Amino acid sequence: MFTERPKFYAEYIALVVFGISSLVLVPAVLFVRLPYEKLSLVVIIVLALCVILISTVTYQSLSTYVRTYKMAQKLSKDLLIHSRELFYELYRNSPVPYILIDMEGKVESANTSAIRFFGVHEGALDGTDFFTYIEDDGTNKTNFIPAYFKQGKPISDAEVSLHKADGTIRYAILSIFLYKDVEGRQKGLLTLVDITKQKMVDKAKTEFVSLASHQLRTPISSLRWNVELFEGIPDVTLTDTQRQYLRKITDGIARMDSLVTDFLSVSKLELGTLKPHYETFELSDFLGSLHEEFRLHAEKKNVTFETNWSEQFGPITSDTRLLNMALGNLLSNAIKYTPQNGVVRGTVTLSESTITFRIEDSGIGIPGSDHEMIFSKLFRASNVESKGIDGTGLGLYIVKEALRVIGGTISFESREGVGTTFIAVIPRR
Amino acid sequence: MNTEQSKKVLVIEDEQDLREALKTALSNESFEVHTAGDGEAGLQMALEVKPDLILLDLMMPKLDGLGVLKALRGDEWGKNVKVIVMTALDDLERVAEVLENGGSEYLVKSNISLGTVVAKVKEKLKV
Repeated sequence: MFTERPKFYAEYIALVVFGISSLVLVPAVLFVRLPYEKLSLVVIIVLALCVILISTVTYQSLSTYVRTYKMAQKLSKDLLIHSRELFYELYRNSPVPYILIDMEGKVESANTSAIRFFGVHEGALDGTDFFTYIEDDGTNKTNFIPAYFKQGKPISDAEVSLHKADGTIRYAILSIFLYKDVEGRQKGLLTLVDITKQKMVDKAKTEFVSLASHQLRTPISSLRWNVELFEGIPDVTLTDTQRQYLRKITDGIARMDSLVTDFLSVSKLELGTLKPHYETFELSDFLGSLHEEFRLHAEKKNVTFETNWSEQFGPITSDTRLLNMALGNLLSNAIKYTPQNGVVRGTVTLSESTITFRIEDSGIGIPGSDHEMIFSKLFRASNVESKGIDGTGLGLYIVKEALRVIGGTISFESREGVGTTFIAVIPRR
Repeated sequence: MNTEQSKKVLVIEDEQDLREALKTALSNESFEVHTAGDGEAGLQMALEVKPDLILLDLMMPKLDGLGVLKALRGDEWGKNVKVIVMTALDDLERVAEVLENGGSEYLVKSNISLGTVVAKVKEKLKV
């Protein structure tokens, strides 16, 4: 690879040094009269030998230096070419779809995986606006990604659905890193992680849960109605023990019903079939029925339930079903986790742009170490688990997701043993 | 009692257990109860028996509740018959459509007691 002899000037330099030395020394010896001629001859010979020695050493060291330098230069150039080739091959053949875009989102280059991901021929993506491939999922995510990127901010791990050339949808985790090209212009390196298969498996599982829950509804209704018929049979007097068993059956049915309702809600939220249906309604009426529903639960548990909900708030526009799902779960939790003689308080405040619902309780509170996880699916706080309070860990997940669908948010403040306040905020439409 | 006896209720519900529970509960209140297990049979029976009120399930084989409702509203007798539509919780999307098609009342089966269904029927028939 490096057999070519490098060009160097050391030998010329050595020759020049030798020549100059000779030119200076020979006349010097010839014309300078020394007192002892024999001595001058010895000096000349010694000097000549010195010159030859110096020249040889200079030549050797200079030529070694130049040769090494040239070889290193060649080596680094070859390495650079090699690493560029390697980088290009990695970019081209990576199983990860890579797309280079300008700051407007126009595709400048796409690797083989990206081309395969979109099901197009090579070059078909070049010059197109990448952001038009992102599917509008009803949230503002599709607007957020281009807007954020065009402000010069990187995007990391945004879940998106993208439509292929044939119109089919693929799911991916999208990230955009910023970099500068050789001319110093800012560009984006976009990566996609294909999660279509996982999404399909998830969807199939969710659909199964949905179907199973739906199918369970009928036998649950049948059980409940038949227990009712049994209790209503005239001329049958039940003993206390028989009544107790019947009560247990009824409670079991109620629990099963609430579980199935939760499973159905979660599956619908995850399948995205719960699209918001906005309508304008009287907030006081809506809260009135919610109050009526949970007043009985609170009374049964000897918990005081206070609200400012009877005030006249006027009409608002939202999705009553999703709002009911969110607030219902919050109230049910508040009553469930508040011991006897405790208080649950519901308040509503309206601003020009938002409506804030606060559900405050004097319950067992959420341990600090669980705060981060509290809205995760199937998560239950450690103190709830240890106290053996029944639940699925779906309630707060449903609250968060239901509010998300209607553009709302949820937050909380809690102290273990003191109580918890959940704050749900929805936009005024 | 005589008024109640003269009132005819038709239950169109594909689930046998629910159909029978409704029949028993309504018969206990001295209604004359007719039943059908799918939409097609239900519609035919409705036009034949001409009940005072129809309890109509929404999700059914052959002809669904909405189809029955539309057919009834297109009929001279059927356009005025009282109908209570029963839905599963997740059929709420279709409730608006039901109301548009002249279903005056709907009940969500999964969270309603049999007693409430009977009470609603009585209220509708003013008995």
